[in-house]
Amino acid sequence: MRADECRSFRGELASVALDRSEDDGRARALAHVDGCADCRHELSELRRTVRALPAASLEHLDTDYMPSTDLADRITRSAREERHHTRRRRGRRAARVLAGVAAAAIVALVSFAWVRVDDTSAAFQPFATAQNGAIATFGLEKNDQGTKILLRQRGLDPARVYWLWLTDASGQRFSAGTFRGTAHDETITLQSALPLDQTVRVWCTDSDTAVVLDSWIQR
Amino acid sequence: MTMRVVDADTEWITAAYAAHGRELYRFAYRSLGDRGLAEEAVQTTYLRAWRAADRFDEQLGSLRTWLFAIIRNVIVDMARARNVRPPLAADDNVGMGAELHDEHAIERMLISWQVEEALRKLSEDHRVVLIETYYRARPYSDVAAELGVPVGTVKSRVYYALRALRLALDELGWDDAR
Repeated sequence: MRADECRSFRGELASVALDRSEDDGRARALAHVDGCADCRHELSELRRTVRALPAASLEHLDTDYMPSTDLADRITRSAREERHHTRRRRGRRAARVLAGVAAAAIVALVSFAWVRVDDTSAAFQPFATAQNGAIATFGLEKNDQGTKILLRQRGLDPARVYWLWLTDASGQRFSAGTFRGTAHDETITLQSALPLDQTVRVWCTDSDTAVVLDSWIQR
Repeated sequence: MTMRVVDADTEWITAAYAAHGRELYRFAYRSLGDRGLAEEAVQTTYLRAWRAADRFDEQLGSLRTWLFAIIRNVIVDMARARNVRPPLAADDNVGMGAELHDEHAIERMLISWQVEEALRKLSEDHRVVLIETYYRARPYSDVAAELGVPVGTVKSRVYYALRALRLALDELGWDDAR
């Protein structure tokens, strides 16, 4: 009997919670609530929920957000490529330790201001200019979206955000994304819309727009 | 052996994306207002999570909570970058949420997104009565006439809509204290 009576007031309790109840219905509902602990608790819960409603925007509620259907594939592909390059890097590092040759080659390469790449892909190359004691190398690869950049760096400030840019022959720059500095070697994958065969410069700025890494590409 | 490890990596990402990718994207898009940036944020989030997967401890929190913590940082970084980056080439972002200055703005955005996401989880009948009666402030009698149901049915649907909304909010980690 009591449960049926409570059930009959549910709609009115919701109206009270929304402050949309008319006088008569409101008075009857509140009179019932006064004598019913369960419905008092129910009204309290409904009011708690109603307090959340103003946070939503109807404009955004009516919009259906869906990512590109290939987003998951792109993420897994990036992870696979990153893992592949990490392993290659580790393999090369081991070889260098054994032979003691590659380190000297890197030092020699750093002294060149111009870096040569072919039109499809390139092994890691050091930046010709690196500020703040950073040690950084990059590899460029042509892909359907433009140019993929594999950036390996350490020594840039981990607390700061950096921007990587590609520039074409006309001087127009194209964003290749952002990254943070690291104290240890880390390879990240970035992407720019500028095609590889139009890229003449790879460079990086910090949040003060100071250039911290820079290389020109000779063709 | 190598292939098995690589496949395990990508399988982890695939499973995590299937579970949470769309809602992360919706949150990113809601925050950044740009589809490309939103996808970049989601991609960065999953790659960061994948790199740090060995540090993820399910005892300390769910994967969903962890991913949302990461994407909030990613969005803050992207919002900061927008405020300080140099002038861009024509292909760069337009329409990014201009109000995203700091963590507090992201927090407010997360709250809005949670309520919107909870409303999306409601049945059509429940969502419609809440939108019409609360957000559009229409009289119950108008809504009842439009839907072809008695006013009492509209009130009852509003009640069950609020109950369902509470459950959805709780599932999304809603915190009344915020």
